[in-house]
Amino acid sequence: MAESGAGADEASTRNWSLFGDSIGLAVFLGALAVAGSTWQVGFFITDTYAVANGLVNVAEGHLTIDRIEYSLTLGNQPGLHVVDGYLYARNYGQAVSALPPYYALGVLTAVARLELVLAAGWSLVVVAACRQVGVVLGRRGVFQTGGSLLGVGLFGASVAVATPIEAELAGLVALQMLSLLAVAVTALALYRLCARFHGARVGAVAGVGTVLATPLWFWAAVPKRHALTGAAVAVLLYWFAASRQSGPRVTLPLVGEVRKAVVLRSLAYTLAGLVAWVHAFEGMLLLGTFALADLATASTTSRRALVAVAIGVSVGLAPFVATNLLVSGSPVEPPRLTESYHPSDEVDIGPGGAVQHDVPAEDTAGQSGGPDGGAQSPESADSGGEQAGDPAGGGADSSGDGRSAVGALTERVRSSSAFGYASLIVSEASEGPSRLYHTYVRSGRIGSGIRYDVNDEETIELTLAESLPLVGALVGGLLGALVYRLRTSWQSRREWSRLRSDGGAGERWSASSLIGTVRRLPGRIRAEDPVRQTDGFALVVFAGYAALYFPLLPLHTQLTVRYVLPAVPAVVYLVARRRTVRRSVATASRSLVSGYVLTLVAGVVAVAVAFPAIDPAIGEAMQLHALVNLAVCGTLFGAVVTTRAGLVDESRLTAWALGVAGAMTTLLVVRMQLVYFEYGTYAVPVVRRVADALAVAA
Amino acid sequence: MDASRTVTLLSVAVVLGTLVVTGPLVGGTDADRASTDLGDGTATIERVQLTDSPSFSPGRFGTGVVYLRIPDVAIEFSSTSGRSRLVYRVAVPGLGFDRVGTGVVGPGTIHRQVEMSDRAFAPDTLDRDRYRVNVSVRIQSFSVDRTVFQRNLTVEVGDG
Repeated sequence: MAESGAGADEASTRNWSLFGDSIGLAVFLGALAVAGSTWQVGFFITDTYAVANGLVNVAEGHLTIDRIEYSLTLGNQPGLHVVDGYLYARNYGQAVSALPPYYALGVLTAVARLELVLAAGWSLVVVAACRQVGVVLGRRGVFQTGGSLLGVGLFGASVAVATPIEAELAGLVALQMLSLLAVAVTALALYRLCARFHGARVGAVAGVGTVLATPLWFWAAVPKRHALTGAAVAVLLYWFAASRQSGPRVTLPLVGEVRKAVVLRSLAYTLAGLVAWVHAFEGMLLLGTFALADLATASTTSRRALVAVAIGVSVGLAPFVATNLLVSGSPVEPPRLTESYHPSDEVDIGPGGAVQHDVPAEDTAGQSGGPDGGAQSPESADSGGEQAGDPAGGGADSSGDGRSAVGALTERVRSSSAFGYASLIVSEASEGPSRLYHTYVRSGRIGSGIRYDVNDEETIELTLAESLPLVGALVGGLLGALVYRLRTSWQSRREWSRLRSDGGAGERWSASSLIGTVRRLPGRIRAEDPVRQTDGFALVVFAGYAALYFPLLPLHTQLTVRYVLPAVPAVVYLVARRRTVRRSVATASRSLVSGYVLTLVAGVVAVAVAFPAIDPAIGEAMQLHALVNLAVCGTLFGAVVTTRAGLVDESRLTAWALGVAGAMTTLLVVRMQLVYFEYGTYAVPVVRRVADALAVAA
Repeated sequence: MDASRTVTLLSVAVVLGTLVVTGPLVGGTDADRASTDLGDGTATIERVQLTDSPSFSPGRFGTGVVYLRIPDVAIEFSSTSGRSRLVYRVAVPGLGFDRVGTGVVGPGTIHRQVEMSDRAFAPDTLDRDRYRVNVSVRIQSFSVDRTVFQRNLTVEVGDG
């Protein structure tokens, strides 16, 4: 595979290629095939009902919800909002983006059964992915023939075992397709980003790892906002990296000849603005962090470039502002911030899902499943009422929700301004260490702050390190580099002091030199290598997400800290950027692959043997994964930190540890989807059957 | 055109053809759609057995809860006719817990195991030393609804 040098002006940037090269297409199709294999058609988190109802109503031509197509219990849907007696959903950007697949499904289900449409679509993606892998490996004929036969075989088996999926679920399915597509785009963007800086091999590993070795796989089929905004983060990172050098000129209609970098920057601002249409706060976060990073590092801030930026922002925010004006009447008040719907409001949902207005309040008694948590927040409006698909897998014994610590907290967030939000972060900082520990390091049962009752008291909320042990490589790489620097500077200082009798006292910092350093900082950032500028942007995005959700985490129904899931692409990029990691991937990829495959096989066998013996409940199983993953994370950290610090020099060891860490996440997310959280009908039923057969056979 | 392309085209044609043939336009085979529905069946039970006895025990691996460990129930049939279903019910009135698991019984079923997952309780909600656990199994269809197994057990909380 050809290594393209860092910062070199690649041939692939001269044209407007979507996939970059044949590997990019293979990564994209492979990601789609993998993520789709465990797809369940069903509502995992209750507030998806509101977005799906939003989609169906938008498809009928109005933002108001006049008809409830999907409902769990009449009248109780977290995520519905009431303005002037009309019902609205939220995340309209998501609903509108899902319109093309929704219309397509409408056509397809006229001639075919929905469950078979999904199985057929997935089988054809498998065929295309196999062919493309063949193209990459230079053996297209064999792979295409084998892939075609495999695809037909998988489809035939699916036809034999398929259970019906009602055509009415097309709205939900369309949202899920959008989410799955977003994860494939994330993998593609990370491939292109990492391949740009460190060659195709590191890029391909990063792209494939994005799906196999992160919790994105679990959330791919859950049509929440996270997979979408995660894809936006990945694409922003790539466009940021690709636009740091002025690059070639391109000719656009109406505009004429412009620098490609300027076009990409403008597109990036548009994309960040569009995120606000899905989730206002995350959109503002991405817009803000991108603007900060972009303007600090731009190769040109000419008037033309600034006009392009302004146009990008305006175009991106236009649908958001228009929707807000139509719903709340205020351009800056998104539907999410309006009053939440309660069954006692003047609006109610009648038989058949028709929305009725001006119903006397007393008529609605007894329709709701339980007292809802009152007003909900901007950030976690979904935290008040949401609930994962019954993890215990049976029965109607989960209690309704009441007010909680989280409800009170989110109420405070709701009533605060942006400044208030910042001060909230500061005021919560006193409990910071413990909260950060329970969000990023070790979960277990957390004393207070998490409502376990909504998920049957199960301790299923994992931390980032427990669900993504790869972060050990990131922390290890950074710490190792620091140790290395300290060691080398200590050694050189010792040699220096041997030469000079004053022991290097002349090097002391003075106030004026500090001021000079600060003054030179903007210039230094601007002159920095684009690779390191992108590192900075990725760090800022991660820090932004961590800060945005700091007052709310830890929280129930996060499972893998899904609120910070959109920052996972940034984490994958930063992991791939560690010198130790990319050296291991480049020189010891065989150890990486064998570490991954062997661990996965050993994990499947271990689960098949040990789990029947210890018979864990779901919370125990999740916590067992958590503890093992934490140990793997620690081992990976140790391997990377010692290698980076120069204490050992063994690429194969770190490559192995990386493979093991990736496999542990694969094992977790696959078991979460096939065993622990079964909430719908499997789109590819044959995968489910094979998994059952494996579990029995092992 | 090389052989691999021919194979791919044929595969795609087979997939699309199957889609249309089984779809609503052609009429397709809807027979399997109805096969899981409940019918007028009934069943004679030979033996009902809990795989273990219900118990309370502390959650492991840092879960910090107390679990009510619920056994599966194994049922052997001496004869079955039509489609019916098994309803396995476990209730702990003292904890407001009541859960139902079901299993399908078809013609020719001789053995069926109905599973139920354990239930977690926050430790501070268990304020008694022992709880009454009611376990029952019913056979149900449009024509029958018969309780075939009923136990009222007293379960100690232990050191959880």
